Amino acid sequence: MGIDIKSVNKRFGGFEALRDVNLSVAPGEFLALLGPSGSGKTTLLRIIAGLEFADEGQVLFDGHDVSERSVRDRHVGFVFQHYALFKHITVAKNIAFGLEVRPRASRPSRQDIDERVQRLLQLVQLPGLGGRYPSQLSGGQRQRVALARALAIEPKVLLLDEPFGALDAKVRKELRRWLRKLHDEMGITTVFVTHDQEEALEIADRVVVMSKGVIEQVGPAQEVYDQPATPFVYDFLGNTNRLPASVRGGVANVAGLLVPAAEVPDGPGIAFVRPHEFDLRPSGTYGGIEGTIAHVFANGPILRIEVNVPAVHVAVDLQVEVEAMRQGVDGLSLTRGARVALAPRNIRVFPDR
Amino acid sequence: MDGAPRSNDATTEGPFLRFGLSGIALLYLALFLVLPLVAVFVEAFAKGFGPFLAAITEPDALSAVKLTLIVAAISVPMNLVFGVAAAWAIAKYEFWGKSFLITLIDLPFSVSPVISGLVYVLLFGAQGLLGPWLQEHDIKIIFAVPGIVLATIFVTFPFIARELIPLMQEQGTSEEEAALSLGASGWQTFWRVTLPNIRWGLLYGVLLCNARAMGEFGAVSVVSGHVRGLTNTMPLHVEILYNEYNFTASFAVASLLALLALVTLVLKSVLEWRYGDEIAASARH
Amino acid sequence: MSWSTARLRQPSVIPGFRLTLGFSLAYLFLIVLIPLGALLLKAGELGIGGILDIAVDRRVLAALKLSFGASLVAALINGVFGLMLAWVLVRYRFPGKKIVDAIVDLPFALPTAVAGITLATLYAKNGWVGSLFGPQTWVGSLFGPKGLMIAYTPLGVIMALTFVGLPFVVRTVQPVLADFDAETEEAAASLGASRLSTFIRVIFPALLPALTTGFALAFARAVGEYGSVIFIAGNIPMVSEIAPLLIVTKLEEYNYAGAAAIAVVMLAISFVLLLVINLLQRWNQARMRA
Repeated sequence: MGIDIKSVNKRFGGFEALRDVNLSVAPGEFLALLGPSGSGKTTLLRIIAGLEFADEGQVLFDGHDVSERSVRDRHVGFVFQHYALFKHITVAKNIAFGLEVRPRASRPSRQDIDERVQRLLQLVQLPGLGGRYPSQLSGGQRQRVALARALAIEPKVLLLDEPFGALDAKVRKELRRWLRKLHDEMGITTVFVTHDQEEALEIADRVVVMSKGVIEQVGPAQEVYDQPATPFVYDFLGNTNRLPASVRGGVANVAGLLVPAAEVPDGPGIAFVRPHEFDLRPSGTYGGIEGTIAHVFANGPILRIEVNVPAVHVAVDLQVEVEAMRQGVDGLSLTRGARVALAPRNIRVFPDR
Repeated sequence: MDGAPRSNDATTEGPFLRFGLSGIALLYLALFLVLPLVAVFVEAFAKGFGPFLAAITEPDALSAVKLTLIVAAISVPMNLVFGVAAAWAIAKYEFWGKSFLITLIDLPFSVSPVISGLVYVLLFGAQGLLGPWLQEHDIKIIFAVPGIVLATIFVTFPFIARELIPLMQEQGTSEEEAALSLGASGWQTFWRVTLPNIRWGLLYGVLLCNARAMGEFGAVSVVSGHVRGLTNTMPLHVEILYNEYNFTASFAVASLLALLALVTLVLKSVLEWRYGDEIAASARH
Repeated sequence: MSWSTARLRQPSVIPGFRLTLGFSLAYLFLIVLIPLGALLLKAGELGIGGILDIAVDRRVLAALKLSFGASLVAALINGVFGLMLAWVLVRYRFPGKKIVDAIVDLPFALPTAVAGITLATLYAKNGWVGSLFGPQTWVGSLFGPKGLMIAYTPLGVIMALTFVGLPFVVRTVQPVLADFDAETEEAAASLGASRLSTFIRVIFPALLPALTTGFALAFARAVGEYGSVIFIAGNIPMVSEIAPLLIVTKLEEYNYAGAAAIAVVMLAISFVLLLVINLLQRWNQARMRA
C-alpha cells in the first residue's frame, strides 16, 4: 500500500511539531524517518498511524483519505519503542490479541487463530515460546513478539517507532538486518523512526532526514550521505569539518583554497568536508590547505589526525580533523609539528546565515 | 496533549461516557463526603452562634479540649522518636527478620480500635493480669489518663514509622557515609544530613499521627471510663452530649474536630503539592 | 550463601544500629506485642472449646455476620466507585480537581465519632437524606408502606462503613493508573480493540492487584470500625449490633474473657481473609514476573 502525506501541520501548544510536511511512500518501500529528538519524526509516524491527528493536511492510504479515521480502523501494524506488550497475558495471547478483539462476525475460529499464532512465532524465530510471559523474554525477543503481534492483523503498513532503541548494540545490529530480510520476503510497506543514522543508512531504501518539524532531504541512503542537501544534513549524518569561506562571483575561498560555489551568493559561506574526504599530501602541493599536525590518534588501520590551519587566510585558527587509512599515507612524515597539505576530494559550500 | 479530546482519539472515552463517569464519581463523593462535612457545621450553628459558643466554652468541653491536647502532646512525640529510630534501623542496615519487623510495625493498623483498647484493659484493668499489683501500689492506668495515652499511642503507632521507612530506604546510605568519611560523628550525621533530608516526610507523618491521636474514639472509649471533666477527650465528649440528646452542643464540639480535619487536609495537600518528591510517593495514603 | 554473610546483620559503617533497633524493639514489645499477648493469654484461659462456645452464641454469631457481611458490601461499593473516582481523577481534567483530590482523604482525617453522629443525623427518618426515603416520598414508597429505613438498620451500618473505607481503593488505584503506560493502550487500539475491550482486556487486569489491595484495606478497616457505626446502627441485638460493640458490652459487664474471645475470633477471621488475599496477589505477581 502507498502512503501520501499532504501539507501536514501539527502544533502542541506553542511548539510547532510539523510544518507543511509532504511525503510519499511507495508500495513495498522500506523508509526511514531520521532526525534528532524533537525533529517531528515520531509525531509524523503517529499521525500516519492515527495515534495523533494533524491540525491541517491529509493522510492518504492508496489514495483514500484516512485523516479522520481512528487508529482502530486504519489497520496499521504499529511497533512501539518499549514494545508495549501486555504483561499479564502470554506471548501467544499477545499475538492473538488483535484477532480476538474482532467482532464475532469477522473473528477467525479458535483453530485458525492458534495456527496463525504458531506461524508467526515461527516467522519471528520464537517457536515454542508462546506459553511464556513477556517478562520471561529478553529485550530482543520481546521486540520480535511485538512485531509478530503487529503482523497478526495482516496490516498493509508496518510502522515502527525507534524499534531497536532500547536494545544493546549487538542485538540491535542483528535485529535490524533480520527485519530487513523479513521485509524483503513479505514486501509490506514499512516506515520506521530512528535517530541512529547508521541504522537508517544500513537498512532503509530511502531516508527522510527531518529537523525542527521540516523535511530536510529525502533520498536513497547513499545519496543522502554522499550529497547532503543542507548544512543540517551534513552535520547530522556522519562527522564533518565546518570551514569558514568567503564567496565572490561563484568562487569560494576556503583557507586559501579556491573552490567552485556557483549557487552561493556573495558573502560569508561555510564549506563542509568529511574527515575521510581529505587526501594528505606533502606540504606545498597545489590544491591543498596548508597546516601543521597537532595530534595523531591511531585506531587500528585508521589514523585520526588533527591538523592546525593557522589564521593566515581565515579569521581564526582552525583545527581540521582528517581520517586516513594507514597504508594510504606511507612516505609522509606524520609526526607532531610536521607540515602537510590537505586536499579535499569532496567539498560543498553553503551560504552562512 | 493539547486541546479538547477528539472523538476518533483511541485512548480516551467519548464525551458522553466522560461526563457520565465524572458525574457519577463526583456525585458519589458529594453524597458520601461533602454532605456529611457540611452537615456538621450546619447542625453546630443550627441554633445560632450563642449556643455554639456556650457549648464549646462550658467547663466540661474545655477540660475535654485540654485532655485531648495533652494526650496528643505525649503520644505524638513518643511515636515520633520511635518512628525515626525504627526507620533508621530498617533503612540503614541489612539484618535478619527485617521484613517481619516491618509487618509487626503495621500491626496496629489491622487491629480494631476497640481491641486496641481492650488489650490494655486486659493487662492493666481491675481483673487484668497486672491489675492486683497496680491496685496494691495505688497506680491507676485504666479509667485514667495513662490508659488513654497508651491506647492512643497504640492506634497511632505506625503512622510516622511507615512514612519514614520507604523514604529513608529510597535515600540510601551514601550521604551518611560521605558525612562519616568527612569526620562527622553519628549524631552530627543525623542532625546535619539525615534530618534535613527527611523533614517534610517527618512533618507529613506527624500531621497524620496528630489527626488520628486527637480524633481517636474507639480505643479511648474502652479505657477512659467516661468520667466527665476528668477522662473525657473531645470525641468522647461529643458522644456523651449526643447520647443526652444535646445535639447542638454535640455538633458544636464535633465541628471543632471537623475543623481540625480540614486543617489537616489542607496542610497535607500543601505538603504533597510542594514537597511531593521529598515525601515518598509510595507512602501516600 | 557464604559463611561470611551468613550472620544476622551485614556490616555497615553507619553507627547506631544497636541503639535504634534496641529502642524500636523495646517500644514495639511494650506498646504492641505484650498487650496483644495479654489478649491471647486471656482468651487462652477459655481454651479453644470455650472460645468457640462464645463464638457460636446466637447473638455473637449475628454480630460477626453483620460486621463481616456489611464490611464486604461496603468494600465492594468502594471497589466500584473508588475505581471510577480514581479514573476520573487521573484521566480527566475539570475545575476544582485538586480540591476533589484532597477531600478524598476526609475519612482518614475526620474523627470517627464526628462521622458517626453526622451520618446518623443525615440518614435518620427526619434527616436530610433519610427523609428522601420516607413513606411519604415517591422513592420511599417503592420500598413499601414504611419507606426505606437507613439509620438503625444494617443498611445504615453499610453506609457508615462505606464512608470510612472510601479513600483506600482510590488511593491504591490512583498511582498505578497514573503510571500506566500509554503505549500499551495505544497498542491495543492499533490492533483494533474497542475502548471497552481495551479496558476489560488490558487496563483492568493491570489495575486488579492494586484494586484488590485497596479492597482488602477497606474491608479490614470496616471490620474493626466502631466510632462511625455505633451511632447510626441503633445497636439492636441480632439485627444491627456489630462485633466491636459486643466486645465493649462484654467489657462493661466485666466479662473480660468473653470480650477477649470475640476479639480473638475477629482477629482470626480477618487474618485468614487477608492471608488468602495476600497469597492470591503473590501468585498473580509471580505469574507475571517469574
